[in-house]
Amino acid sequence: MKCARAWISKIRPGKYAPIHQDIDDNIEEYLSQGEVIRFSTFISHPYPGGVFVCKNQCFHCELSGNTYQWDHYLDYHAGGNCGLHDQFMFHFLGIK
Amino acid sequence: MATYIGNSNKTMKWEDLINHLKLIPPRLRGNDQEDDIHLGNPKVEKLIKIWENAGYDKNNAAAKWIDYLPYEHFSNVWVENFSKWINCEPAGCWVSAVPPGYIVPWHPDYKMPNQEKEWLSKGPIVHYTCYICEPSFGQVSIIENHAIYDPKQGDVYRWDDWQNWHGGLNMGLETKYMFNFFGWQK
Repeated sequence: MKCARAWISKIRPGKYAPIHQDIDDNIEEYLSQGEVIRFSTFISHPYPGGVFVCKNQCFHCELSGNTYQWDHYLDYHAGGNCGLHDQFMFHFLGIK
Repeated sequence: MATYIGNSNKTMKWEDLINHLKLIPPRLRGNDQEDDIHLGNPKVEKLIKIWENAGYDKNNAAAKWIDYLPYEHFSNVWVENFSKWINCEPAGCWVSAVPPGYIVPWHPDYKMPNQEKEWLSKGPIVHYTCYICEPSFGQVSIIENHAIYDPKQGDVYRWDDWQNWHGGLNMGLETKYMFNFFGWQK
């Protein structure tokens, strides 16, 4: 898998990212190279309160290292934290 | 944790209650709001310190929610009917609403110490939550390590302990409504 883009998101207690799609200005260039696939990995300790929602799935208290492949890289999603500890996630946009 | 009990929507038309609540002014809770229940409660003062240490501050406009109370905001008939449905004697009930963009920070539900003592003298307290609105994207409730997402309208859960730590947030586009119940199981 070739990496098109990768980043780490951090959501502090009391913060959230509302429902959205990840729009990438370079998506046409990635698509010209092959199929674009999206992965997300939970990288912090599974403290309660940190949540990630993708379509109709809610991820909470995921073990550090748990990795999911998205149905589609443009799926609507959101993340938030009503807990007491930061939540970190590693995101990967790849080209197959 | 919480245990799924069943769906109450055939017994109670929760949509009617929500339509009523949408028309009346609510009681805002959270940062910058008058807190008449918790004023001077040592447990809550300790909790606020925990929030501050975690990074919540008074300027966080998202840390808010809305409460509606029986008699004051809606008929107590809703409490009576729900009590019958779960076979309990009610101690206290309220409807909480979490509009889009609001977060309810991690906490147990504390009452004033003398009230907790009085309640517990009558027997163990049970805590039920009913999700009274249609499910919508981004509405999450968390009880200990149990996230409840996308429940059906009318779904009822009984908490393992009435003072389980919990929180919630709404990252979606519609207001979330919950009917909360404290009481004694018959």
